[in-house]
Amino acid sequence: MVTHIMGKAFSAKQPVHIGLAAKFYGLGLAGAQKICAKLGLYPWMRMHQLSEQQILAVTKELSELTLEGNARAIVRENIQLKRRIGSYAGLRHAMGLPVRGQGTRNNAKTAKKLNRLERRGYSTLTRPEIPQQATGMFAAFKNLFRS
Amino acid sequence: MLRSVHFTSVRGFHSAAVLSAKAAAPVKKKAVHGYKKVGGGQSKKTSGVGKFFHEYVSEQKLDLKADELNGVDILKKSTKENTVVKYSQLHMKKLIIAGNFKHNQYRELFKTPITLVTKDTLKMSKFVENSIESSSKDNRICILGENGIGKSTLLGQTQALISDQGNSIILPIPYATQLVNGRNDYYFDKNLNTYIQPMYLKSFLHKIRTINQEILKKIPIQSEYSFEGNTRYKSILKATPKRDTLFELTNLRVTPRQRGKQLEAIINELSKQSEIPVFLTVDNFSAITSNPRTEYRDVNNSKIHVSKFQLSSLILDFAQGSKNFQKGGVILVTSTDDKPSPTLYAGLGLATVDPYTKNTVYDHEVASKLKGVESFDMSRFSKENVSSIVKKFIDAKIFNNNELKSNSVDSIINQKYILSGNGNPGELIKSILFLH
Amino acid sequence: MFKSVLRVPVISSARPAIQKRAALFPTSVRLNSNKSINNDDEPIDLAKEVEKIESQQPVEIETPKQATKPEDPDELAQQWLSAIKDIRKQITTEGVSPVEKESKSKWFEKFGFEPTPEQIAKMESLEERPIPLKHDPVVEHFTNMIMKDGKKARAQRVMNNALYIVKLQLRKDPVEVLKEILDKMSPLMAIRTQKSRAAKSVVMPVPLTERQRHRTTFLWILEGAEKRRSPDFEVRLGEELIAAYEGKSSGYDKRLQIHKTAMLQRAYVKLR
Repeated sequence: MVTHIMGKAFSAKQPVHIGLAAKFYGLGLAGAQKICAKLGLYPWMRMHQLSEQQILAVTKELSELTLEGNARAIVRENIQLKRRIGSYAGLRHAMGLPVRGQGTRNNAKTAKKLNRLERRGYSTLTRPEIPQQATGMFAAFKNLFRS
Repeated sequence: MLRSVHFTSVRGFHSAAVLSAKAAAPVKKKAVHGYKKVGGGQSKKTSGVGKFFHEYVSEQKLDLKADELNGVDILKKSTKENTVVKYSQLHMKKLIIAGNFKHNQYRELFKTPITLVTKDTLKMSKFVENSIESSSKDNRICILGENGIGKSTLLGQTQALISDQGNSIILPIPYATQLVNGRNDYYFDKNLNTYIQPMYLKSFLHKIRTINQEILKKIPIQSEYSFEGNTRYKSILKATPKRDTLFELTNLRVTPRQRGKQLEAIINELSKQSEIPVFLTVDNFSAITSNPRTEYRDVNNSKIHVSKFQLSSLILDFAQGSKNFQKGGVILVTSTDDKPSPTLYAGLGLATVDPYTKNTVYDHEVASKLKGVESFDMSRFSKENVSSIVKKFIDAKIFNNNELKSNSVDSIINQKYILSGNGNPGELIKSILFLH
Repeated sequence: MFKSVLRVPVISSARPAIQKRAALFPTSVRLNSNKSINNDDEPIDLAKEVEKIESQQPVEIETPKQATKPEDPDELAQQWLSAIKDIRKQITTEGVSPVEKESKSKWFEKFGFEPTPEQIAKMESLEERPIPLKHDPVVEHFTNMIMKDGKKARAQRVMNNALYIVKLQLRKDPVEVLKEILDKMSPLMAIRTQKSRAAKSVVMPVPLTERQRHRTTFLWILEGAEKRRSPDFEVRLGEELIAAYEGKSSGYDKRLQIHKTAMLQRAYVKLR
């Protein structure tokens, strides 16, 4: 039993606002609640209770927001801007290291995983494949010339 | 592998039966219906009932395993104080539909649940007697008390006493939290200018219809109503005077969006007639006073106030007395599940509120509607009450044998009176059941 | 006896020594602290200060005669023995006269009032009876085994609800049911393997105490409970207890298996 909204599959018994917030990058719980309120869906409505028209209305609301690829693009653009103007934060992004003054003696694992020029956005199933980017000093120089 | 494939087609050197046997048909996977399990993997757990504790205790028909208690009379108006009684079959039927029994009341210990007639019961009996004769505006009561003191039980006793009158109608709302917590659908009715809750109204109308079936058939309706019908049956449904009674009006299968109009019509008819007393009973009423700004949101994503909902505002209006039945009463029961709010106590006139209290803490609109409602503070069990309950529990063989062996009955009564916090019934039962 | 007698004068002689020392340095705290003694910020002349202290007279402390400690331990012992002799003489000639004790009865000392004879009789009748335990020891043991991360209240809730299910299903005293299960299901032996000298392990049965037997049974019951379907632990446990009472639990097989191997390996039982 699955409900489809904008090509994404939702479990039928999942509450609408929770489902939307979980599956769309760029939409949080408050935003999802706002959509439900606007369309008159009651707060704890379940996915299988949505009629065809309501699904279309939800789709329309979602299409007006910046979600998924567009939302990710904003993050990437911001990083690229920092890189272009030659700021320290941009450099750290390129090096794949913590940006806000954290130490790198130990750990810094999240930064090594996430911080790169082509930052990938989480929280959805359909995420674009991004090639592995090397980290470290030498890689930083490489990346410098790339952008 | 390759060799075996090769040789099965050609005859092998040795003619074993295995080689000429047909390959086993591939096992078809059964089509799965319903929800898929989240884990996906096969669960190892095989035996047992897959229920939560409170479901297990209330849904497994465990009360049928108990022996019938002898020497317990049925609750009547004439029952004296401090006697243990049970409900009649008719009582049980009505109380179950009204939703009075809850899963944490240890009902399953007995075949038919027992209750104790206390002085509070007698007071409520008097209240019912008064309200049969007078307008519901003069009979508005709000039952207060600590956790486990028996507020819902007292409501059940009252409902049983009301149904004993034989000629009065009960409008039961067993769990007012449902009106507020956003678990039912809502819809703005432009004609009525309120929000209505069709899903909740369906069950509410069902309760009214089934509990008061006999009495509703006696009341003729006074004006004509027409509704859009459920398309499956008829396009337009009508209730006309002289031909139809109130039962027919409640029995109409209207479309979900017209249920608000139907309820309006029923309340209208009930308040017009002067023959039959009508009682509005609301359990967990404190949910409304604690959360006047409901979980529901309007188009601008701001919380909707309770007074904009049809049923909630109806309750508040009857509590205020601005709407009333010509005979009858309003019984509100609070719950300790809801967070305590000054709205309730200030509304009942039991407390004064600082004028600078925030709107989110104290709701003046709701509080002002509770003016004139009589507050009824329940009292704990006396020692005599505890003794009669303990004796019945001993008869029902609920006590542990070790406890009975090592103590005399008198000493048990003394112990339980203290353990129950000087006579809190809920704590009393816990002290009997859970001190191994 | 002698040792304990000996200790007393030693301590009493030590005490005045300490007091003396305290008297010698009445301003020792001040000297250590950062605060200057004078209100103005003049540098302190230490030599002056010391002179001041020395000029102060040490406080006279009345020291008891006993406290004069004899050098020789034999002499000390003699002193004590003579003192005891004196007391004994006094008792034999004059007799003991506990005048003070006579004035207040033992009841008044104990309770602060004089009880009536009935109250005394009631108290004496209750004296032989033991103070009842708060919880049944068997149930307490099981509860503690259920407990995780020291959350006892939670464990008690689970235990209570499980026993409540047992009570509802069987309509019997659940504690008695639990004890009957323990009687039927507890193994008498445990199997332990031990390495012998010849690099060969020996399987030998070991007798268990009552508590150990209970523990193994509880572990089996918990194991069986985990295989049940309900999401609530109390329901799983309650159902397993009922099954165990009816003889359907897998624990009985385990018990039989242990007893069989114990019988086979009975040659290795150590009787000592």
